[in-house]
Amino acid sequence: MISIQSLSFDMPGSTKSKRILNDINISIGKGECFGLVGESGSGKTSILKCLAGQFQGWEGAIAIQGKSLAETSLKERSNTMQMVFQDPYGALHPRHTIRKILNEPLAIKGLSDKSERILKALKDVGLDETFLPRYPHQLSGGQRQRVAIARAIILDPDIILLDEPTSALDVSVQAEILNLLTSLHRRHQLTYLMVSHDLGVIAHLCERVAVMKSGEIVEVVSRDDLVEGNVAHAYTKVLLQHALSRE
Amino acid sequence: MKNAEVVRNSDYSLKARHNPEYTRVALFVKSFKKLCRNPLSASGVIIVALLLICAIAAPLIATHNPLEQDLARVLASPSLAHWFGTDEYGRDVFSRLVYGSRVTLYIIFLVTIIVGPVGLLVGTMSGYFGGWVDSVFMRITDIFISFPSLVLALAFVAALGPGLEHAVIAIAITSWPPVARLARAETLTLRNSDYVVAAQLQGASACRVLFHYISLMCLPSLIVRLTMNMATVILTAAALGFLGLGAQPPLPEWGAMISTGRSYMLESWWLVAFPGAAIMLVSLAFNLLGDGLRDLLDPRTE
Amino acid sequence: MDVLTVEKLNVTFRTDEGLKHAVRDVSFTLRNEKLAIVGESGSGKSTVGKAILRLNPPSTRVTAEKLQFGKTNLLACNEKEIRAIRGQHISMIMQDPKFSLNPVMTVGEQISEALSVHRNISRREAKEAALEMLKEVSIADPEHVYSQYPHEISGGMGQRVMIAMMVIPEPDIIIADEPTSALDVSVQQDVLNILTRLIEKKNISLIFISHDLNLVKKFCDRVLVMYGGRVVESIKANELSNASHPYTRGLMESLPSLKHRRETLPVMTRDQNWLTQEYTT
Ligand SMILES: Nc1ncnc2c1ncn2[C@@H]1O[C@H](COP(=O)(O)OP(=O)(O)O)[C@@H](O)[C@H]1O
Ligand SMILES: Nc1ncnc2c1ncn2[C@@H]1O[C@H](COP(=O)(O)OP(=O)(O)O)[C@@H](O)[C@H]1O
Ligand SMILES: [Mg+2]
Ligand SMILES: [Mg+2]
Repeated sequence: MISIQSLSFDMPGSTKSKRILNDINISIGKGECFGLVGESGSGKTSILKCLAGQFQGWEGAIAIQGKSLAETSLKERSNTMQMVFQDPYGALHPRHTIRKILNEPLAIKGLSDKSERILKALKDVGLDETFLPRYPHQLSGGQRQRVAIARAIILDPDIILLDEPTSALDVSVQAEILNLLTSLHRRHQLTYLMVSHDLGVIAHLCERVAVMKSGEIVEVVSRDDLVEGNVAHAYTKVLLQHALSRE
Repeated sequence: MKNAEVVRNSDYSLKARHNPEYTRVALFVKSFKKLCRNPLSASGVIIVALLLICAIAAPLIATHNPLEQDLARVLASPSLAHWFGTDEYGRDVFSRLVYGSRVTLYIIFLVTIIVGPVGLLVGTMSGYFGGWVDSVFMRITDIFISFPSLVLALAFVAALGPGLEHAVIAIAITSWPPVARLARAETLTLRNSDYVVAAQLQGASACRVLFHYISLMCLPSLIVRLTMNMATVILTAAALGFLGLGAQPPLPEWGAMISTGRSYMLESWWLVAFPGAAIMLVSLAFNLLGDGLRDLLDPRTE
Repeated sequence: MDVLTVEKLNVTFRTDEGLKHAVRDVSFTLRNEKLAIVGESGSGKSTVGKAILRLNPPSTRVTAEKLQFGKTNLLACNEKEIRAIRGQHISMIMQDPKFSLNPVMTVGEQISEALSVHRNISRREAKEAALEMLKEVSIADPEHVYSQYPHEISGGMGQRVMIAMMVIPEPDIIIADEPTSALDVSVQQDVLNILTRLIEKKNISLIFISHDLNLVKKFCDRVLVMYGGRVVESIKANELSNASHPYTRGLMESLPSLKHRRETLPVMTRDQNWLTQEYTT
């Protein structure tokens, strides 16, 4: 579904450019939940941004459903791939109502039966139509993240990029969102690429995890290996030990 | 890395924010009340409202015809019949002031509807596209900004010839660059925000992002800026009028009234004092209103 | 010995939408221990911490039956007396060092100033003490860090500097408001270890504000669980796994676990009664 081969990215700076991603290789199958874990600044978000087309000028090869990403326009990409952001406060336009937020993708695509689709997406994420006339600031953090997820699934994409979707939320709300993501995954046959700094969250949702450190992937481990401690790299061991020590 | 602490006001429990009927109108009324709570901005609101009333109901408020000459009562001092006295042709100064508010508002209105959209368009495009679009637009604004605005306005009126419409164009040409700069600065901070990225990911065109997402967020600070700008517009218009390049006689324009009154100033102080006070009061009012609006609309100043 | 006694603390904010009763009848005593205040965001944890030092905005109404620090009645203190207590006797570490450090002063100068404000010592002595302190918070190259500006150091380093700054006047109480929440897990542990070592060495009591029950379970002695501005449970940290209040239990259970993965995570149903029922200790 997604295949990334020797992806490298240099962030152009004012004086000299800085290498943010170095030789990233990932391949993600259809319907898989793939996780990226690592400390902040390790380049997790940057991978998503390369996929989403926000970072231009990367080297290497990215293919989505067999089609080279470099040759697909943003408009084509929008049919297959959507993204959910970390900060539920910044991801929704503060002066758009929920109706407008969910209507936008449909209007851009020029689809019909808009209100049916909106209601269905809302129902999918566990909200009802009373939310439609509200503004984002009238919702709690968890409700906003639900709206953001609804916006991502409303175009029926195959792939959803999740950038720390729960790290700004309280643990009980995090549990609700994780459950929602699990059930959506099952119902819509979605492929997830999820970023998090929390190994527990990643391991809950993802079957395979890539561990990142300073712009490189040090190891790709399966969930079972992770749980049994079958990890090779020293850094993965450190992460794992911290995660286990807190349970 | 963010965490739960960053989540503000998730009032899930105590009193969930259940105000579905929280319509735009209610929000507007609330904001207006808040605006009026500050005595300074409230006085701004009152004066601007008075100006509006004067302009709309000028025939009802004015005691005389502003153009009617009465050579028997030339330069009469303020009295019950002529509250603010009469001028060198015996025209009632109060009535001229009242009708003059129409001219002032006309200028403000025209300048604002030219400057607002032009500044917004140039600024947001410049900020959103960056690159050469940005360079070209910003160099142009630099050129306009580097001239004193009155001098520039004078040059334009001199080229176009005196007249109210020409004064409006000249003022508009000199006052859009700061607005564009502001819109550009706002756009730069918004361009990479998550909701704009989300819109791009949905395949939104640049046009759509600019009009549906970015402009909307620039509007509050733009409104503040334009309101403050109105004070400058009034002063520039008065200055042009004073120099005889703005509204042409016999149109009762405040700056022109001062200009003609200047010759009789020493004996007939009311010819200069009342239009001068009107100009000062109204431009002060717009400044106060702008300040109040900024406190209301711009969360950064809290 | 009771270092700090708080009885029936109430905090009300004046907002545009009317009064907001953010903290209701919070009572606790702090002994020489590590006391944690946990709860979800908006439950009033920070407000409690700030109310003790009167750091809430001026329009806030703070009432309490008792707010006793050692022999001092904090309620009766005037502004000047409170200022003398802040920093010297009770200090506060905020979540993000970026916002609490002065951006135009080197971090070393800020640490030595924190000391010289409260004590009558020469600049040289202050600098030496600051360097010593930087070494204590496990900074490898204190001389170098001393002359750096806050924006030049990483988050973990910044938090160590904050700790150095707060510990150096040897206060009696440190209130740490989510000191590690903005840090990576691996750095978090280091910072906590440093904090523990220092407060044990200098005999400082700690109020540790956090949203992370699992962290608190390992790190603190006693835990106050707050919900909707009230303390719903007060419990020893090592007994947290058999907490009695459904809210505490819900918080513990809703965390995804590596070892015991559940297909769906339990979701808490919130009970209106939690906002009114008295808690039992
Ligand atoms: N827009 C940007 N400009 C400059 N540097 C950036 C930008 N975005 C990210 N970086 C740098 O790239 C590195 C990786 O960042 P990011 O992918 O956001 O990390 P993560 O998501 O893992 O926390 C960091 O060192 C960060 O400083
Ligand atoms: N300055 C303030 N003005 C108005 N309300 C406030 C202010 N500070 C905090 N609050 C409100 O008080 C409640 C508790 O806030 P806080 O103590 O910061 O929570 P916590 O630290 O537990 O996340 C929240 O609902 C918040 O909205
Ligand atoms: Mg990131
Ligand atoms: Mg807090």
